[in-house]
Amino acid sequence: MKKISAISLNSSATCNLQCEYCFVPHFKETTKLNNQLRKDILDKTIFDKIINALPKEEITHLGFWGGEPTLNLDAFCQVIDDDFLNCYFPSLDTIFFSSNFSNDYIVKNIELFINKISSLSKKINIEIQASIDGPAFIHNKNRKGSDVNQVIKNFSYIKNKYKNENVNFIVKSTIDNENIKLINNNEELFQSMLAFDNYLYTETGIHYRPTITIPGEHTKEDGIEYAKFTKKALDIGRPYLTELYSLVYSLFTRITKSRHVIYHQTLMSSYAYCSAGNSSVGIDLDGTLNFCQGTFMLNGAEELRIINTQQKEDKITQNIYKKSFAKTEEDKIRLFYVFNNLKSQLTTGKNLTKSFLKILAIDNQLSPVYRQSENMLDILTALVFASKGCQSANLLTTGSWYLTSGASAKLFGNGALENVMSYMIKEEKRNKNEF
Amino acid sequence: MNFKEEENSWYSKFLEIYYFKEWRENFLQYNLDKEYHLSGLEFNIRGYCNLSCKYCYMNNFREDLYPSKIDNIEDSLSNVESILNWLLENQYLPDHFEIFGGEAISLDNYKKLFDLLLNFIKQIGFPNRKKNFNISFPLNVIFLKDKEYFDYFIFIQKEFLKYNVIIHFSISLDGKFADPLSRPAKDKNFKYDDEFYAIIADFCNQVPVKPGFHPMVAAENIAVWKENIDWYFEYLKNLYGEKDFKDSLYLLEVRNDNWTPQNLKDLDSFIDHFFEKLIQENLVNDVLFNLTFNFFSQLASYVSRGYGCSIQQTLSIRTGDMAIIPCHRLAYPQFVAANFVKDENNKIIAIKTKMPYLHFAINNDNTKNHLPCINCEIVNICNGPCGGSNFETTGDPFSVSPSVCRMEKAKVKSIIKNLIKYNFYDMFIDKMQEYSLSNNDYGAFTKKKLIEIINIKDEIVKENNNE
Repeated sequence: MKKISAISLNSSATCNLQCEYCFVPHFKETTKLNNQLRKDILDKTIFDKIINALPKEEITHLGFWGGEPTLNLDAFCQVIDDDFLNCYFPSLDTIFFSSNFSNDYIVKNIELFINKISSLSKKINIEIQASIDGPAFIHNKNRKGSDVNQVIKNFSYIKNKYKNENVNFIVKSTIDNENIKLINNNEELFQSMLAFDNYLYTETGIHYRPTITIPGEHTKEDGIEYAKFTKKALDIGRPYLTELYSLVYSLFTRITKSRHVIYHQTLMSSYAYCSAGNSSVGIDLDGTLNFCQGTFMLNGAEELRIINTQQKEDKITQNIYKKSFAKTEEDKIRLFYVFNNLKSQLTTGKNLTKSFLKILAIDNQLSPVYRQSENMLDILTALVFASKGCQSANLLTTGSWYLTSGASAKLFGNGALENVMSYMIKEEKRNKNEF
Repeated sequence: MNFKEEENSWYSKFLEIYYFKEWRENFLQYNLDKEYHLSGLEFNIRGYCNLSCKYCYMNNFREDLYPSKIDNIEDSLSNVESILNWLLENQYLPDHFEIFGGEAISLDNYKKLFDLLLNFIKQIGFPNRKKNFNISFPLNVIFLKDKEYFDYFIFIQKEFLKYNVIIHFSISLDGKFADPLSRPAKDKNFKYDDEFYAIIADFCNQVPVKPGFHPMVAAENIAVWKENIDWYFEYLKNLYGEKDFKDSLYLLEVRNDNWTPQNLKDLDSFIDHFFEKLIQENLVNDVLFNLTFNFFSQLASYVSRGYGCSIQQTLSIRTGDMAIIPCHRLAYPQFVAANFVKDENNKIIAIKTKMPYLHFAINNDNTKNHLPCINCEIVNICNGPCGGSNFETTGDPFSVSPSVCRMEKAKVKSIIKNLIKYNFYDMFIDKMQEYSLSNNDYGAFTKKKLIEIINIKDEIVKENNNE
């Protein structure tokens, strides 16, 4: 079995917000599940399940996911102490969690947790991600029940309070196609987004870097809008506003770094967008082993089994994904065998993606350049498959870890990638001239 | 267009490029001499069967592959009619038809099915076309015990022949020693006895186009295959004569993930025994180069993209709900690609996508790139994986069932061991080297095969020396 050093733990079955794009279902059942989870945290059952699933000595990173993970931090605080760490996580180095920072209860819980971790004999790093989607017309609309000004105030408070502790902070901003369309069609809103970027940077020292929802059901029209947005961001010299710029930059860096082994067939792990299935896995409420947090709750109660929007009408249930989870030792061996294949098969995934994008191009769902230029098709393929590729989302939208739904190809392949490539070429020339 | 409409659009384009364009050309140009390599159309008529074959995916996973709620033969046949009308309306002519199941069970239903097919054939106008049209029909011979079925199947083959259409009956029979182990009937009173095998022989004698036999070599019956192959040789010689019997037997190894170490020993022992018989019958050349018995041809035969079956050349339709599926063994809910949509007059008006991705991917896949295949020492001489079996074992159609790999390795090693033992190895290598000089894909592929065969031979020699 491969070494798994990071786990994502489903540490909260519920959330105080109802974000439009969130994959976590909201049913009455979730409250019941969360009550059970709090009980499992307090009597340490959940931790027994973790060390039963994986060798505890190898776990260095522990991530809390949900729902809103901070809602249960107070329960964690009641059980965490030096003995607990020695018993369950002797090699733990870092704890990561995300939060919506939307109210005082959450802020108090975060304070409680940081104080508790700081009081331990062993130095543990904490990484906290704040979900801040953007200016009010984006954030307050997408993240129902949350006010962006309050969130930034809370986030700044915690960030400043613990600036001298081992705590790192990042901001995660998610936007959807409606937000993009709105910005494109209203210059005032675009300007307000720029102002928000300035404000966020002043308050937190972090730039606004919105990312698009995955898996999403992006269409060609969404891609054309995204291309317009990308051009606007590049034209004003703020490339970080378009996620695509950093994706392409990161992809090229990885390819350049590994150029000496580029023809090696088993390079997927070095190209993969994330570490899921490679060095990290998810552990769900009942101790089942998941690829990552993206499939949490599929293994839960009957009401939770209806998944992703595309399938809702057919009520495809968790039952068909039964082999995507592992509870028994035999299941784990099987699942790790599949993960190993999945993360090592650059050629299969790349070829299948490329063939698929060719069909999209022939069907005019991508810019004409992808019918004309094999090189551009290769870059788009790499981007879709390795850079923005989410294998968990693949499983939910196409039925297979390997196969993309083409949504991100349509998003990036209708002008946006061309815009970013042109910008990068100009940037490269500019740098050379300056040099 | 929204996402779903765009999905429908690219899938239609895929169907057009991969199937319909060729079918249209075939329809229009069938009477020309041009050779086509076209895809066929498979009608998966139902899930229920009167047998409970131990290795059968439909027996083991029927509720997932062909749920009871859609497994209604009357609806299924009505849908077959709609599909045939749709083919005519669009002027589509696939290369061939395949009938797959489950079983229609009642004679009336079989009559209805073949009437529909015959009506289609008549409308296509086959007597005027130069090339024959084939319909493959794996025949569940249990029915032949009933005289009415017996007579009907002979009648129907004769009837189709009038239109230059051959119904190829391929007889599903594992053999006298294997049948009771691997192909039990649901009717407990049914017995595999000499009388039964005599009825089948009688049928084969009477039917105009001689049926082939396709027994399964499976983990469930491998222990008896030595006796079984002896029986099969004798049975087929009596039936088709000393000269022709060899062309009627097509052995298929079952690629389920249940091959135990003992099964592999039995497989090795069976291949040893089989080779003895091949030597006696002077058939070694035939089995290596002419696909005779199918079972040994993998060392020399050309499977370009790794799938040893027809999955990449067949459009499969589960007629119970008019679903387009990647293949009969990958008809799991999350892989159902699309459904034909009918109006109130049973006329097909659209194809609506469901989960079209795997169907597309399988058609573009090369299994030799899969893990662990890509690093495997026999990737070019292996019969390849089965996507359905992979999925049933690992949860992923692209991750190979481990015990199937072990079986394939044991099999090729055993074949090469016997080539060495009976001094055929050098002759075989010489001939393969000759083929490898061809300036085409087969030549390049044969070179790769040669390397693998030589490596395995070295491994065997080393093992023998160590012993």
